[in-house]
Amino acid sequence: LNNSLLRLFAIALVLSTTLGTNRAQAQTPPHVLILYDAPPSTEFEKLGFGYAIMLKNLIAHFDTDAELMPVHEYVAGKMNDYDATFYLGAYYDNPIPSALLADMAVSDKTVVWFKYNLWKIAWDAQYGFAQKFGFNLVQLRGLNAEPTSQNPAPGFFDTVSYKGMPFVKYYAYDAARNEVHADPDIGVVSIVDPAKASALVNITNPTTAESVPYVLRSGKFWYVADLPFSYIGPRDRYLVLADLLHDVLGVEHATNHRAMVRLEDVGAMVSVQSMKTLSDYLWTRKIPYSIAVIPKYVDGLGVYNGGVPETVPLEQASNLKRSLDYAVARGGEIVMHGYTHQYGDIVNQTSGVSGDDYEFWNMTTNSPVAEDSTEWALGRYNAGLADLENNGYGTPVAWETPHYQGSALSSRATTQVFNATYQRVVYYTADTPDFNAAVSKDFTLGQVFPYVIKKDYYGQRVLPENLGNIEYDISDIDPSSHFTYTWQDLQLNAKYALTVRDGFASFFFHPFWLEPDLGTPGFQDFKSLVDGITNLGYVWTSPSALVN
Amino acid sequence: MNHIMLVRTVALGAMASVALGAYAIDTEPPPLPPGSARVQVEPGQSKEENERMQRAHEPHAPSQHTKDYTHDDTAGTDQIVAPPLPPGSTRVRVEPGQSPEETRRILRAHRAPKRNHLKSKPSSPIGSPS
Repeated sequence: LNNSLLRLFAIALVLSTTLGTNRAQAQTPPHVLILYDAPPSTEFEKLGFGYAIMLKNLIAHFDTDAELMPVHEYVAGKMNDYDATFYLGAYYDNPIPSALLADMAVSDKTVVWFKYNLWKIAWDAQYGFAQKFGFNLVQLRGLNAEPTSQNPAPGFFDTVSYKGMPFVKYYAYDAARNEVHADPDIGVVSIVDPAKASALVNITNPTTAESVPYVLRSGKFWYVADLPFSYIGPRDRYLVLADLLHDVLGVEHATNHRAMVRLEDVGAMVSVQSMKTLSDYLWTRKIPYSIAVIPKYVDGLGVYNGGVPETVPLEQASNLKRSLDYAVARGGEIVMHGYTHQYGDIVNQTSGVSGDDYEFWNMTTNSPVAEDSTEWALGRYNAGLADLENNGYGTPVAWETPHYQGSALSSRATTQVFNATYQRVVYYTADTPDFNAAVSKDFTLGQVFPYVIKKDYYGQRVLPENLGNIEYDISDIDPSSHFTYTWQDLQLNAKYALTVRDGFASFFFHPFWLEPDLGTPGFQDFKSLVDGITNLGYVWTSPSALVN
Repeated sequence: MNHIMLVRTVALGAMASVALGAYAIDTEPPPLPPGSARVQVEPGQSKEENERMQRAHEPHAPSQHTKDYTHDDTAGTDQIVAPPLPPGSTRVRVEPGQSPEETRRILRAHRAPKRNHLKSKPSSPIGSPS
């Protein structure tokens, strides 16, 4: 009996320990290392770093703060400290430390290899790569032929099929400069042992009707034939990776599709009628929504005031306050969209007027503004926060950078005063970037997110806006307004976002589209879009539900 | 060559040999595909998406900035939202006053019967037939 009791006790102990360990593992975010090419003294030294920042941001969806490291700094055994190691092969034939290749060849940790340089491990006999992993690299493929003015689009592997949707890679040919704006190269692999390797996603070359693996998995070794961080958008193959990261990292998020709508650029000149109409509609439909508020109106050069500079503080902006009072009483949540949404008394892109111009980025020089500093940004944030507080609107639920673009310092500063940002984000490969350097030039990285990013490269919690906004061609009224982006375009974007298991359908809308003088079917299209997103199965939510 | 230069040269040589040994033996890479030299790769959003993003946040008509920010364009129109009209409302024709039946009834009531009219008719100059 004693022996039996002891045995039962031992089994119970083992079971409880195992279950406890599994629970702990489920709650512990994976440790991730991102290695990137940084070939010294080359023009593209920082390209891989840019990709690494973007991947780090996506991985932050999984509550993980990934470590970034140039691949040439890798030391033997380093990857053993992590659950997953990503290598971004951004630079053709970049040297790779043999210590990394040796570690990858025998590691039992997750390894994800992107695009170039797989030949350094796959074609070196000492690693026995094909035998171990069941696949091999065959060749690189890119454009089917040299593009010419007669044949500007010779075609390439550009269509990634995933969950029934075709994700088409970007392509543009500049005939005048004979430049291709695209990222057509992929690594073509073949499976030699289907018991070990399988293609999870394929990519097709419509011109040649060929199809090859796009994402391939062999146990814990993954190969992605592309680097899906260039020319991204709401229907780009970037979303495929965004979804597959759940499987790569072993963090299974339940299928959960949520939608958000934000009324945009709501400042002193807002139409109360438009805001009331939209607020009534959303309130009646029980749809949560937010309002991107510009607290202070400034026309720094008096462009719309006979050459006399004009300022309208929130306490005097009676229409704005009427609109906000009405909307807040009907469920609207306030997002702070800049302090003045313009910069000083200069034309910083368009006019120097609130709502038109950049506030935290000098667009005329494509650099941080002269005053750029954490203190300067905080001063503007706190001034706007005080305006909202003093006029009875409390603390905004989130921050949205004017034109979605601020300096690195201003983005980092948001974390000191806001719980979240609600936007797309522009990142840089240096805080004071030099985009024109012949060697080691910097890059701007505009990134759209399909889901919540818990802590991005600048430390921000990012709530997604990933569909865009309805636009009409009103060039007869305003010659520069010639973009058209229909509610059907946005609904199609939402359909693509469904391929991400917890992807959002988040868009914004300008209330001015309801104003009669523009002659657009703004309200009808707004309602059609709300219905269209709802019909796709999305459940509407509010920014406040995502902040904590 | 002075001593400092000699030491520096030896050190650099040693570093170089270590560095060379640290990298994988040069495997012959596959050739780049055609047109690769002309490819310009840009990380981040596509040009169209960036333009759309920028455009989305710009003004669209001068009238957006020339409003009287104190003049409520709903002034005098504030109303409690009315309940929807019942089915068939569009076919309803409303007439003020009494119903047609009542009107007919009243008219009828005040109309003297033809018989009475006959009675009241002035007598024939030739006198009552009776």
